[in-house]
Amino acid sequence: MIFPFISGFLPTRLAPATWTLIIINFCILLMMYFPSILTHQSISLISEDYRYNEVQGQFFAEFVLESGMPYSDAIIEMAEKVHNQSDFKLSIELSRVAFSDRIFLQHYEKYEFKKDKVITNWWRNKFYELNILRERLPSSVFGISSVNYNIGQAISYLFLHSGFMHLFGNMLFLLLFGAALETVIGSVSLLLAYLISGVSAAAVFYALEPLTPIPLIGASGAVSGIVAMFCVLFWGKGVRYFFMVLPKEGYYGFIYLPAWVAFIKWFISDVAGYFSTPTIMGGGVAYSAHLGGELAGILAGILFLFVRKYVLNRQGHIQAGFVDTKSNFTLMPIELGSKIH
Amino acid sequence: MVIRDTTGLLSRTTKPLAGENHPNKKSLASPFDRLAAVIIDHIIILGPLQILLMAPFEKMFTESRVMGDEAAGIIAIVVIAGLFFLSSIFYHGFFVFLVGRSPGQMTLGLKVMHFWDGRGLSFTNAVFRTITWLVLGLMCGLLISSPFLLASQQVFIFVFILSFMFPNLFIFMDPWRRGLHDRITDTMVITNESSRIAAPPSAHELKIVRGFFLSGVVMTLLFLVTIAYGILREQSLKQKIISNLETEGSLCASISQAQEGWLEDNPELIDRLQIALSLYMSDVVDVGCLEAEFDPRVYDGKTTPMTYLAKAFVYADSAELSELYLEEICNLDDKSEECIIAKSQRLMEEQNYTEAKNLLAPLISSKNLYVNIWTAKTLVDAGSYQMAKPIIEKLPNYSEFSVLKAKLYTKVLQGLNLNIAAETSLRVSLPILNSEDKLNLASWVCYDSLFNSCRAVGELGCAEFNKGLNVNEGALESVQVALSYLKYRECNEGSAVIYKAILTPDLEDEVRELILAVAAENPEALKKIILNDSYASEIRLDAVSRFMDMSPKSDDLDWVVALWKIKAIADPGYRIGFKIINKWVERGEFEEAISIADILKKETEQSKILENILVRSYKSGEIKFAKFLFDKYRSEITQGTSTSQTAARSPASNQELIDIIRSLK
Repeated sequence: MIFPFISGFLPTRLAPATWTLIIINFCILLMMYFPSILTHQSISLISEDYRYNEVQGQFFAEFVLESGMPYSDAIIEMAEKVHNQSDFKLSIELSRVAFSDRIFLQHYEKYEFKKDKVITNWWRNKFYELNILRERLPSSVFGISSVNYNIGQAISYLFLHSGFMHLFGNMLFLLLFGAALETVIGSVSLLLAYLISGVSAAAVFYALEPLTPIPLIGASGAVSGIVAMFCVLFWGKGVRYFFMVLPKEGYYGFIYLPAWVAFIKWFISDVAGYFSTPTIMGGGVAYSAHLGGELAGILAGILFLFVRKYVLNRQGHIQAGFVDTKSNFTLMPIELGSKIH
Repeated sequence: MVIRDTTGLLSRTTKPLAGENHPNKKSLASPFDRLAAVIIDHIIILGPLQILLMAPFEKMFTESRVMGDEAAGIIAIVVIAGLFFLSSIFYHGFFVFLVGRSPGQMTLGLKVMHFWDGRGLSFTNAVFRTITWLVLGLMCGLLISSPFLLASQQVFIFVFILSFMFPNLFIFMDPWRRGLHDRITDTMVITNESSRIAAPPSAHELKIVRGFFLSGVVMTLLFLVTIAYGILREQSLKQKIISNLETEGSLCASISQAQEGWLEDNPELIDRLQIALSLYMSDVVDVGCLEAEFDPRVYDGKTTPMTYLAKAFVYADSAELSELYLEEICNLDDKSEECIIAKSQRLMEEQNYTEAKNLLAPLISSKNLYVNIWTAKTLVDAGSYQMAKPIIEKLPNYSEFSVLKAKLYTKVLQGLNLNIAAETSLRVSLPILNSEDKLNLASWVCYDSLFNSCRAVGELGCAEFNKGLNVNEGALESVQVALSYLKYRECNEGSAVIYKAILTPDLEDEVRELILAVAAENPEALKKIILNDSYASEIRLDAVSRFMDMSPKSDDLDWVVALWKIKAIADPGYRIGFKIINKWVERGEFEEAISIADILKKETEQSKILENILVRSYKSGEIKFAKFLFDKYRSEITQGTSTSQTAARSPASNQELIDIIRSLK
């Protein structure tokens, strides 16, 4: 395990914007999480019912094969197996795809299925009920999806998390990288970078996964942007990592490695995650959004370097601290370098 | 023959260095450093790159599992394994050849060298060393972990990773700290850091590793024994599952076989669904077979009352959907036989047996096979044995129905108090029943015989029941079987047994509650059970019977009679009705007893019910009541003795009844 631990956990005095973001995210989770528990339970009651899923898979198979709507070869193949061979196991899988299929969601109410009216009405009512319940969830109201998106949601989704572990994971990295970055680029710039990365993550997610109506929530896209920006700014400079190879003295501790190591690891895991997740399955982690955030972070980092260079050139001097290799945080001519070690 | 000495071992001029003279004995790499180097190489550096390389094939593998495409899945696994091996071999081979160490080893100051002369490794040797390490690890991994695949995939992966490192345990045994792959390839790993030099393995270390090997072997053996035992134990269950899986998603051969066999007698019977329904209702095929008939390749999509009835059975696991189908049958055709079946099904669920029986009356003359089967089964469950009998007799003599007919006919004969005929029927049925059916039928017969008196405790039904209990594990989970068990033991060992019965495992909570109420001799607790309509009807009936036996008060009997009259107590087979008559007779309240007999006569529409009561009371010594009854219904009873059917419907032989009548006259 190797883990960037750049300047540890900086206090609110040094990273006010980062801490504000963390507190806002935490408060929003508290406000949204508990009231939606009952809705989640009602959803599970329907969506985890074996018979319901089997029937839904059959309906979706019929829709895919006979509606003439554009579907990928993989989904058509699945639908053929369900429809022609009554493959029950596959029917359950196809049902999961149906839950997140935009075209199906738009047409299921009016499409004339060939099955008898008893089962059609039963399933349609359940599916409708399920969608109504899902629409009530904060993730549907504030999250961004292919069927529900606007500029407000492109920002609000950033502040929603599915649970405490989701929030903890994102906020930990925000605190590690965001706080360190904030001391260098300032609070306003950090907030801007955070929001721009978040919007970029949503845009890339929408562009790469246009068919899924599963809402995108969480700050991971924006945090990925912050990580990428940090790594671009400190590309070759040594930053502190915590490592633990074995739980034995001498095999764990801190090590200074170039910032690009963190970026490469982060980037590789997102690219690998994106390419290993089958498009028909959806998946829990929106790797495409991470990549979108990273793209924005890289651009923001490069832009910052250029602007910085341009401003300093215009001022006619480059401060010595800028090239000081001893300190790891020397981009800004401030004294933080020594304080944040 | 010319041998090329590629390793240089044969042409070595100097004596191999060994023992304490080996220069590198003083710079042995620590095993922990070596493990740390592997972790750095394979988890921190190479791991992410390998994951990236394998990502498209991981996707292919996941998709193949979803699509059920085994070939694609195997290709994906082979490619993933190939990529892992090739990248690992190239990584180690390249770095060890170039700089004498992998990046992980470099981080920890380790170096790989030839064991004999301390030279660096050639590219071929470095590659060979890596291949040896991987192949040995893979062999150990697969050999040790493959049995764990039977436990679960996660356990298999965990054990595989652990056992992959097995060849490295030699590091703790070899004086030069060499793993098995080092020994095979004549290499060793040293450290450049003087502070990290490891000593040769101590005796203590050797003991620990040997103990580790031994415990690994013992644990694996234990695991294998457990698995083997589990397999043997669950073999019969597995066979059932396998046979279910075979039929899942495909049509059942038994339906086609039945169709072929039946067509000679019933040329009009060409509908597979009709045959499937008949077989399903006869418990010959499971619901999977019925469901398979709705396969789009077979089912034409027609909507009829029969298809909806079949779907109600198919979707029985989703109560709401099943109920919707039952409702819709009558909307399709409210005069259909299936509509009557749907309505009767609901009445049976509500334990309204009298209404169900009345509703099913028009179906007695049905020519539809599955309707006949359903009607016969439901009437037997509702205790209308007289009505069920001709339908059972009418069922065709196909081998598929032999078990069903045997079970229903025995119950009918027993229910009609034709005890000798019932025992004969049971005797004939036993060879064709499986152990579970045997137990259930014997349990039913035994309980029915013992309901009013313990005289039948030595008869065939109870003897078979006792035998069946010993071979059917967990049989007492069934309420009916548990009640028979209690009754049987009480008759054999006296009422004190009820205290011991509390300790019997496997009993359902409601049975346990009944036992507690009886053991505490608490009529109020029994009353609670009687009034709780969420309990199984068998429990409530048993509680009523015990309540009447326990409470001597006249008010309590009045209370039971009142409940019985308004049908608050479902009484299929009229066991309670007969018991109430007995109680009135015991108290000398003959008029009351006769009034109940009148109700029974109307309810059962059997004139012979009076003969039943007459014979019962005469045999139990209630001569006074028998005379009272005979005087009141003289014309009806004597008329019965003149018909040829009497013997078949009477509780005793015709001659027995005639003898009783003679003595009463």
